[in-house]
Amino acid sequence: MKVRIIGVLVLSAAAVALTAEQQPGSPPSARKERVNQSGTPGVLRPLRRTPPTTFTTDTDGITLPDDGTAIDPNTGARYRRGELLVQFHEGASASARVQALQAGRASRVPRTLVKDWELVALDPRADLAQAMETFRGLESVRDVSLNYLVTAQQFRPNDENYSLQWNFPLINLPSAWQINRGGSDDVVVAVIDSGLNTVNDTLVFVGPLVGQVPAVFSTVPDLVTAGRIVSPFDFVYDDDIPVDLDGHGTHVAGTIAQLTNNNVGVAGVAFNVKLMPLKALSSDWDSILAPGNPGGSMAVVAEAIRYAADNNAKIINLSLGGEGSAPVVREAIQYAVGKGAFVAIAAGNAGDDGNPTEYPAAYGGEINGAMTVGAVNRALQRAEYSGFHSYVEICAPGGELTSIFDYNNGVTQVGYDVDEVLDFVPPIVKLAAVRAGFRPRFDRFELRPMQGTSMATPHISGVAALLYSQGIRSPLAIEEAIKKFARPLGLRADECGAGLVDARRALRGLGLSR
Amino acid sequence: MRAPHLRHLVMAVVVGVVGVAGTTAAYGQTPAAPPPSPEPIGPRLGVQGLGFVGLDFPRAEQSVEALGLDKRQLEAGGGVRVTNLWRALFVDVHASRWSTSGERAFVDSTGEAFPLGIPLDIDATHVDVSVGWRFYPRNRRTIRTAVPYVAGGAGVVRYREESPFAEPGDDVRTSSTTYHVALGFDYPLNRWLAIATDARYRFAPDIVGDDGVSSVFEEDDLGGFQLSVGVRFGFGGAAPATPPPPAAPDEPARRPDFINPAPPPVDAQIGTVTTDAPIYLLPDRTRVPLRVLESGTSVRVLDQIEGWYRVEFRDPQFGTRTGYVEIKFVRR
Repeated sequence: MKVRIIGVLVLSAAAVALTAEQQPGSPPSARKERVNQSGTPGVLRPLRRTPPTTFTTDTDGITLPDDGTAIDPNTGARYRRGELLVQFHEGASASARVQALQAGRASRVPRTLVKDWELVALDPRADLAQAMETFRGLESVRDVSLNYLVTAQQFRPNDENYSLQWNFPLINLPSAWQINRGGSDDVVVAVIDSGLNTVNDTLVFVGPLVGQVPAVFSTVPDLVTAGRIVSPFDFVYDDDIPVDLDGHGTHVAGTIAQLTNNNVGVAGVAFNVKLMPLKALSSDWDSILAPGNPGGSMAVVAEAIRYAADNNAKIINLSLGGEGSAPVVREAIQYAVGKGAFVAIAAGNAGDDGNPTEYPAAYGGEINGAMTVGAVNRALQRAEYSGFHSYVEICAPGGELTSIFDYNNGVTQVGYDVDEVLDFVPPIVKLAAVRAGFRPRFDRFELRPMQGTSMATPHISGVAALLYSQGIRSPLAIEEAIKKFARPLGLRADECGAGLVDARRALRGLGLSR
Repeated sequence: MRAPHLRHLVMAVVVGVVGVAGTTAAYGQTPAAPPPSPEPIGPRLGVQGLGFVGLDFPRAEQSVEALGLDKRQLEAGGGVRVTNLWRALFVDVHASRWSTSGERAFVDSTGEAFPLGIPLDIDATHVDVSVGWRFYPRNRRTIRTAVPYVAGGAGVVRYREESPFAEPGDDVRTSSTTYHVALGFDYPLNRWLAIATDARYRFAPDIVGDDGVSSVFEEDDLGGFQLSVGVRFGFGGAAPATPPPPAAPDEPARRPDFINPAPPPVDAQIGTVTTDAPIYLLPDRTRVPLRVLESGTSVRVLDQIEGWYRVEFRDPQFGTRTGYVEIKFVRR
C-alpha cells in the first residue's frame, strides 16, 4: 500500500495539469451504475494502534476453579451450592432454631438479615431440594429458599471495543439503556450527510475527470442489516443508493444506531431504530468521480430535509453547516418540525478559527423542536473547534483528538479503512492516484476516532430517538426534555447551552415533586 | 405564606363560616345560644376515638392528571378527640394516609403531558392537630341529634415518591408542615357511638412546586379537600352528672298509668330543658335523680307544683316516664 501511495504522490504534478484540462462550467455528469449486485459484505478490520494482546500457552490439564454455583433447573437462575436461606417463625425460640439447623444438617452463617431470615450452610454436595423439604417440614421454619445469585443490572454492551466509547458513559447512556434499551424499531432517524452504504455492489462512476471508475461498496458492518434502512436516497446522484464516499455519514449514523451487544465493533445510542440515509454532502471522492455534483448545496440539504419529513422520519440529524445563510433550509427545518420531526444541528467547527456564524446551526436556536449542538471533549471542556454562539443549545461529546488514531479522545465509530480510500491525502493526490490506476474501496472498514460537532450531534439525535421511543413524540417536548435534564458543566451558555445532555435523566422524566 | 395560599385560606374560612352558619341554623332555632354550663350538670371532659375512610382531592389537579394519578385518593385514618376542655372546646388529632400510583411523564411548555411508562408510587400521611368547637343543639329531642363542629389547626405530612431507575437523590421522602380548617358533625347512635363526618381543607405548601411536573404547572400545594365518614366512639360530651339510678321498686313502668298512660291534660305543653337538668321521682332535690335530662331535651309538661314541673319524658332505658324537674331548667 505504501508503495502505491508513493507512486500516487509522484504523479501528483501530472495530475495538476490534467485537472486544468477540465472546462469550467461544464454541466455536471454525475452518475453511477450498479454492475455487480452480488457483492460481498464489508470487512471491519481490527482496531488500529491498539492491537489486542495475543497470548497463547498450553492449557492442557488446567481447569478454572469451581465458582461454587449451580443452575436451578426450574428457573434457570444460578445459586450458591451448599447454602439456603431459612426464615423462622417470629416466635421460634433459640433452641427451636438450633434444633432445626441440626435437623437440616446445616450451620448458621453469621449474616445480619431481616425478619428472622438466616443464611445457613450445608455440605456443598448436599441435595438442596431435599434439605429444603426437610426445613419446610419443621414447625419452627416459615420459609426456605435457594441463595440465588444476582449480577449488576446496568447494561454494558458486549461489543468488542465498547471500552473505547468513553463518550457514552459521559452522557449517562448505560443507565439510560436500563430505562430504554436502544429505542424502538418504529422510530426512523434520517441522517442527512455524505451517505451510508446500503448495498454490496460495484458501482461505476462516469465523470469527465477520470472517465469510468468502478468502485466496490458494501453494506457497513455492524450497522446496515436487512430491514434496517428506510427510504434511502441520494440527492447528489439522484438515485436511491446513497453510498458514502467519505465515511463521515457512516460514522455519524454509527453513533446514532450502531448495532449493539453483538460482540462486534462498538455500540450506538439508539441501536434499535431504523435509519434513513440521505446523501446530501459531496466528498473529495464525489468531486473527483463526479465533478460539479450538487452535493453540499443548501438546496440539496433543504430538499433532503423535506424528503425526510415527508417520509416519516421523526429525528433528523444535520451534522453539517456552512457560513452562508440559507432561509430555504430554515424553512425546511420548520417544515420538518411542523411534521413532527426533531432536528439536531451541528454548531460548527470553526470555534478556533474566527468563530463565524454558521448555518443552519444559527436556525436551531430560533426553532422550537430543532437544537444546535456544541461539542465537549473528554475533560468536559468545550472542544476548541466547537463554535460558541448564543444559538448553541446543548452540548455532547465531540472528542478532541491529539493524533489521528487517538481512540482515547475521539468519538469512535466505524469508518473506512484509511488506506483504502486515501483518507489523509489531498484531493489532487486522490485524482492523480485514480489516473494512475488506484481504485478506492468502500468495502473496507475500521474503527475511526473522529472529532467535531458532527460527532456530537448524533448523540443528541440518538437520545432524541430514545425519548421518542419512550413516548415523547413532539419535537418541542424532546428539545425541552433534553434541555431540562442537561447536566450543567459550568461552561458559558454560548459554549454549551443548557449543559451536557443526560440521557438517563431525560428518559426518566418527571414525578410529582421531582 | 405565599399569596395563593392566603387566598385559598380566606376562601376556605369563608366556606367554613358559611357552612357552620347553615348548620347552626338547621339545628338551633335561636342564634347565639349560650353553651351549657360545665358544672355541676354541664358537659364533662370526654375522650373519643375515631376511625374513618374518606376521599382526598389533591389540589395539584393538573399534575395529578399528567401523571395518571387518581384525582380522588381513597384514604383511611383515625384519630383521638378530647372534648369539652372548656365548654364545647375540643382538641383532636386526626391521621390519614393515601397512596396512589401512576407513571412518570414529561410535560412541555405548552402543558402537553407525555407519559413515559415508568411507574410512579406516591403516598402521603397526614397528621392534623385541631382545636375546635362543638355546637350542641338546643332543641335536642333525642340523643340522635347531630352535633356540628368547626375546627382548625396545623399538622405534618410525610410524603414519599418513588420510581424505578432511581439514583441517589432521585426519590423523595420528606415531611412538611400543613394547615387546615375543618367542619363536620357527629350523629350519635347511642351514648358511646356516633357516625362522624368531616370535611376539611388542607394546605401543604412545601412539598410540591419546586420541581417535577408540579413545577411545570406551577402547582405548589399538595393539600386540598378531604371528605371522610367514620365512627366515633368513647365517652364524653354531655355526659350525665350523676349515674342513672338502678331499676327502682317505684319504677313508673309498673304503674297502671304508665302501662296505659292517660292522655295528657289538654293544656299540656312542650317544654325544652335549657341546660342539663336532674329529674326526680318526687319534687325533692335531695333524692337521687331518676335521670339527668340533657340540654335541649323536649319534655311534655303535665303539671306545675311550687317551682317544679311534673313532666313526661323519654327515658332511653325505660321509655316514657314522668318525673319532676325544677321550673328554672325548662323553657316553655
